[in-house]
Amino acid sequence: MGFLFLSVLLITDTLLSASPPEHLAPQRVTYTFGKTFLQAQKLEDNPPVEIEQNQPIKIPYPYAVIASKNSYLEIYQRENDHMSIIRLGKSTGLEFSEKHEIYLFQGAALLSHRVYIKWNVHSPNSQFIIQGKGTWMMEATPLGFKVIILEGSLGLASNDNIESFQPGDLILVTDQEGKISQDLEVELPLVLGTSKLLNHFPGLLPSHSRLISAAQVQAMRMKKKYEAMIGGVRPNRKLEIWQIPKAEQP
Amino acid sequence: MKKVSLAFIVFLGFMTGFSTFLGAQSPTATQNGSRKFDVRPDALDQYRNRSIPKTSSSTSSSRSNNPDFMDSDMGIQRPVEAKKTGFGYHLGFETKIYHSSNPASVDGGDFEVSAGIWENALRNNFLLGAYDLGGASFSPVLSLTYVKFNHFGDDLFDTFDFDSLGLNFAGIFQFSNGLTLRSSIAYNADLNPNDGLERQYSQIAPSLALGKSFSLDPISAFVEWSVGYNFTDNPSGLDDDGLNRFETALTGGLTVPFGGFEFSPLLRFALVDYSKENRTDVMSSLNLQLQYAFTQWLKLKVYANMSARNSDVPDSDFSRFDTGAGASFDARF
Repeated sequence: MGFLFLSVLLITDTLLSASPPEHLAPQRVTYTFGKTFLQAQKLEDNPPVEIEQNQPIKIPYPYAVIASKNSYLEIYQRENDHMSIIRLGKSTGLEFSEKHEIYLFQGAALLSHRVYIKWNVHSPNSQFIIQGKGTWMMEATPLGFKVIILEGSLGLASNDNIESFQPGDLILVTDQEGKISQDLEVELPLVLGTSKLLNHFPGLLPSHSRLISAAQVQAMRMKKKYEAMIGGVRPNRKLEIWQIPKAEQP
Repeated sequence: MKKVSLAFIVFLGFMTGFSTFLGAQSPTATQNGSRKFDVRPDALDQYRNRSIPKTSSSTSSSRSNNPDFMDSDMGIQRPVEAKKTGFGYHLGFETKIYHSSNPASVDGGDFEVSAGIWENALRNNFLLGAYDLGGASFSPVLSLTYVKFNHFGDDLFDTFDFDSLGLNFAGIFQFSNGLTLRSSIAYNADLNPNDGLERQYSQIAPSLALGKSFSLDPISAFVEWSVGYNFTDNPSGLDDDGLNRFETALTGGLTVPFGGFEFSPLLRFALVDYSKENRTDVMSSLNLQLQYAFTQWLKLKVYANMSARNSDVPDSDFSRFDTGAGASFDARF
């Protein structure tokens, strides 16, 4: 009886690994806008394939997903019983080296997950670890990354130090060793209202209500809004701050 | 701007006519000269001075020139300074002077004459934290207010001056779909400033309110339905708790900003059922306020308030029209 049971298990396992049902694929494209591509590791044998809506991604790691100019992409990634959501902004290239190890060549991405995940994030000139659960965005800069925490409980790690951040925190990560800057806080309702990673997609994120409540709590904690906007990071290590003319203040 | 001002004047004119019309409907009857404790003069001010921060934001992204911060898919990032905790204190002082067509809120008689009222209010709001419940937020707020009402212009109202002490504790849930649930308990005491601040009347009012806010950038609106009960104590009355009453109200309002101004009409209908007598009233109020903010802490305002009561008890109807101006000073810590 024990032998029979083991055989059934083995056969089932073999069948699953040979041909996983599409709904069990680790990743699935849930939205694509414009021209988006999937690129397997070996370039010479595998030219980029244009991504289609609802396409399961079944190729082995590592591979890259690309959203070209004015294009957007959303992927659902299976995390046991949950899903994490990865959204790519325009002109973005993101490699999945492993399930939770990603390499942001350029552009911006949003990640949202309700389960605890430790992400290893790399770029051509920096790296960091972010762990916890919540919704966050990152953008490649000439020196590393700009990260914004939108909701949840997340910490960034550089070397062995883990620093916790709260919704609204903007963090700059720079240099190969992944130096984490002192956090700035940005106005969440404005980010929620203007971010295309949130608003250029047909559906709301499952964490939408959490995003709103995080913004409500920040509004209640608010002391002062500066008459300025944060821009990009210059190669000379300077963060651009744009002063708002009186007539244009939101 | 001219069109808006003209429309406002026309609307005020219409409301004045409406008020006169309501007054004409009320039968003239003899009234005694005591102030009506169950007509709370600052019912609508309480809505305006609540400490729910606005969480919607002007998020227009169509600007003429596009520096690179406008082009980021992460959105516009405006630096802010926020406290690590949600504890806060809001101190406000407001002074208003206005003309009332019927300060005694009576239905005819000797006391249905107009007079002036000078109202000074000191408001303290303590925000006792802001808590993210993951999809909703919760904030408890404790408010302590002291308002002085001084009447002038007619000797009839010499005894009408009073001070009002208010203590309110509210727990406010805000949901992501714009719904707000507010449970509160309020204590109000009317004190006689001419008699050593002797308490003339007091009430304890637990209430529950369900509201919904809307945003049509830049206009914001809200509607709120509330239920509550007033446990009253009137030491000078024949029956101490004779004004005990159940009250349910529907309130709606708009906030329309233009230039440095903000126009905010409020409309409220309340059904009031008295427990100690066979009496049901319908209270209706319309408040129009135009406010100009010189700074974050100084605002000037002009306003008009029309209120009316229709009761199934004879001689209890009234209508009243108040117009005036005021200034408010606010500090947040």
